[in-house]
Amino acid sequence: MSAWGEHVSAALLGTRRRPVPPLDRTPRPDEAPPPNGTPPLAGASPPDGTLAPDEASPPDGTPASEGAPPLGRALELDGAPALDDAPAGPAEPTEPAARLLDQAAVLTARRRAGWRPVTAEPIAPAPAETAPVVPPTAAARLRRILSGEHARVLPEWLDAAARSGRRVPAHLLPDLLHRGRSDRALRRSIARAAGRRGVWLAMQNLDWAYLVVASGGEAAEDPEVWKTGARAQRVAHLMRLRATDPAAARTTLSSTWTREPAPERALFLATFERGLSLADEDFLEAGLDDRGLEVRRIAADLLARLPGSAYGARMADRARACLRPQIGPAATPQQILVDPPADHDEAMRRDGIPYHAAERVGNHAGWLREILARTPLSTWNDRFGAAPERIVRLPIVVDGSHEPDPGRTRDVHLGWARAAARQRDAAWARALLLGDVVLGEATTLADLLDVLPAAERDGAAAESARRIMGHADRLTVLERVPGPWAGALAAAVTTTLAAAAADPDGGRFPVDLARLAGERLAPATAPSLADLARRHPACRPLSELADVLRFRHDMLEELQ
Amino acid sequence: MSADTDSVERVIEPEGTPAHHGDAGDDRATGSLTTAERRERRVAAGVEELDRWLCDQIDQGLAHADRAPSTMWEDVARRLVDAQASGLAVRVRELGAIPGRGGDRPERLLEEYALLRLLTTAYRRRDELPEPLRATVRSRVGFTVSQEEVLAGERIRDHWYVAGCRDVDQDRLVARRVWLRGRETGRSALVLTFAAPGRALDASLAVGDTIDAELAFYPGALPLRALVAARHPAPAQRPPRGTTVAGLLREHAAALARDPWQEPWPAVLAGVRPARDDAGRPHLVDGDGDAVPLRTTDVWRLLAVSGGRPFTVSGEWSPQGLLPLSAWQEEEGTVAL
Repeated sequence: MSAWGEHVSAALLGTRRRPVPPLDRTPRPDEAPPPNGTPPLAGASPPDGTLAPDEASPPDGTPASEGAPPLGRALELDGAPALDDAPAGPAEPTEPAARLLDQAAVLTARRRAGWRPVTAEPIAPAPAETAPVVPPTAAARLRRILSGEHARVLPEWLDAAARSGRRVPAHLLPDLLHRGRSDRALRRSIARAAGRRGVWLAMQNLDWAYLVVASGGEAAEDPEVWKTGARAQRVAHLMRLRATDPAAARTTLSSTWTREPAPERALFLATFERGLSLADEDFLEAGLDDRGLEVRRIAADLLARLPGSAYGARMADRARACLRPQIGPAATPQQILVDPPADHDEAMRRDGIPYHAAERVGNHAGWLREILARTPLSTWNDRFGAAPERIVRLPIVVDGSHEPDPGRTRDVHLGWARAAARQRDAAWARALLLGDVVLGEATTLADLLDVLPAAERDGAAAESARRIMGHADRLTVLERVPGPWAGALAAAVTTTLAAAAADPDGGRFPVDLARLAGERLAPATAPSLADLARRHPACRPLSELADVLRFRHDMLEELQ
Repeated sequence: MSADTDSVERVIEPEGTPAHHGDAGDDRATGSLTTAERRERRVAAGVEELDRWLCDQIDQGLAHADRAPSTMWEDVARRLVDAQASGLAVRVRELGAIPGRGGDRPERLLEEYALLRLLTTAYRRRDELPEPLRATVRSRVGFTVSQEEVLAGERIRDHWYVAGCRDVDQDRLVARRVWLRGRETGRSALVLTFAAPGRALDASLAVGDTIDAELAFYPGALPLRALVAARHPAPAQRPPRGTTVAGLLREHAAALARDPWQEPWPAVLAGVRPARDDAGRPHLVDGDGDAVPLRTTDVWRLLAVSGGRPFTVSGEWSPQGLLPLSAWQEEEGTVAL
């Protein structure tokens, strides 16, 4: 045991029970250097037992310091006589505890001063970056965002940085990667802006492994991943393949389809949403007879997006029995006669129409809605011989009545709207929006807006925002409209906010709308919102909105 | 800054006793000889009591201290405060923070008790010590030196790299330790400031800056603590000059030879790379293959900044490992960790 170890054990038990161990154990020159924790006595103590400074030197033997004062000698660490006013001479303190402490002090100084370097393996360096880092002002703003200032603009910062061909500074990567761990929606933006250093860093921390996947690392492209990978890796592999080569993805899935458990089959089949075409029809049609309920549901929903399929034709047959035109004097349809299916059969169930409707509208109405939502919209253009704008305005009546039936009208319009969203039919979406027929259904309205071409969407969204009366519905719709909001949409939102601020009795200020506007309004609207906020100084949400717009405006300038 | 430093004394000293801005010499000069004498006597009595307590601990054995609550040291520290030996009190109070049970508490305690015993012995024999060492011992015990005295003493002008900044709780105050390293002299300096919790700390020294300044060092065998006596032009951003692992260990050994109570020691390591030992623990390794352990659980920013390439790391070194405080590399400059 080293001298230090002996001192520690003596001190543990106490000098009442244990004798004080001897201080010196001069190492032989051929003795191997002990590991750290028990460093060598840094140079043998001279006979008088003092610690001279050049003895407290590191292992390379370089003198510790020139001209250091002879501390050891001055203090006579080992308990020279003067310590206890003992008589002169090489006597030690009489008390064992004091002697042990004095010796331990020498050993402590030796241990600390004699610490030796250890060995460790360097970490393999990161690959060189291909993109330059963002300018310092932008980096400083990212630091503010990451520390919580206007934290919601983070994805916009990342996307703007990536667009400008730049990357996040290395020292902010840990904070950023940590954010992506809990916020999945951020991951794609992080992957675009984190640079090669980000992926390198993520490979060393399991919590950040998502970035390696999100940035399509080489490991994820391994063709073996389909056979050997974990469930999430296999889904990711299939998704990538669907985006580039849907047929290859289908072949891959077919090769193992019968051996996959039902939950896997459902997950894998859901990836067919990407790159969906009539080439997938046979595979999906077979899926309608799958043992897994979820697989059958997904197959039916995907087929409903393929208007040219046999599935579409079967639905059209059912649908035509439900809606009939009533021709007027000018040989054009005057109104639509609606007749929901009387019965539910096995074929309907197979095609994804459940017996019990998901909505609480009664089974017949539920079947009607489902059939219409899965019927190719071209069916109606042919059947009524008119454009969608005209069709959606036709009164909908039940047989034997002359008055439009509000319940059935709603069922039909909702069915069409869902079909338009599924089939991504812009003409029908436009017609339904203009016809104002789904105003009470905020989610469906948002689905329709999503189908419109981007150039048209903002104007239509502005129109909807103006017509919707409830704040909650308006928010539901606007949340689905991506930014930046400019032109008519920006004007409509600003008007709504201004009206709410000017009318303090009009109920609660739409704080959520103000916050959403802060994220989505084009930064160019900053001055007009700042004006508005100045006119209503008491309205905090408005001044916060003006703040965040100015912040984003400056942010995007920096990332030009 | 001066107000902050003085406030420490007022807080640490018990109420009812006049604040000591100066050493015994000052008091004698102003005629309050008995006050200075009384303090010396109180401190001496406190030192004796501590010495007896230390010997008692070793006599009984440290095994019982392995499960002791931190209040044990708190009580001793309080008595030292009463004896106006605030420096000793701070050291003793910190012992309560050494993790117990299963850790290496007995070993750490023996080290610290031994160094305290070295201090009590040195204080008893203060009249025999050379003047610089006497100043070190007095300041470690708790006597303070006035700023005027410091400013009148040794001054060194250099381009000082602000290598790191760390705030630590100390005695119901927050102490800010700013570590500086002279570009030309290679000397290290520590600028200490204090503030009450929640109050703003001195921010005149920004990590990463290199300032052209004259530092006035507190007297002692190892002049380390300093005041900024004069600052010349505006700070500049310049690459720091550091040392190797062997160089750091050499400096540290030399420092301990002058002042064995000094811990931690400032490190500026240039050309080091992040590394891991066999157990996967984080280290820094220099170009010669010499490695030191890192004393931190969050190495990610350090790793990110280096990208596995050589860079410069500053921090507080002690044989338990290097606590990194800042890192410098070409592209992003100095980054606080």
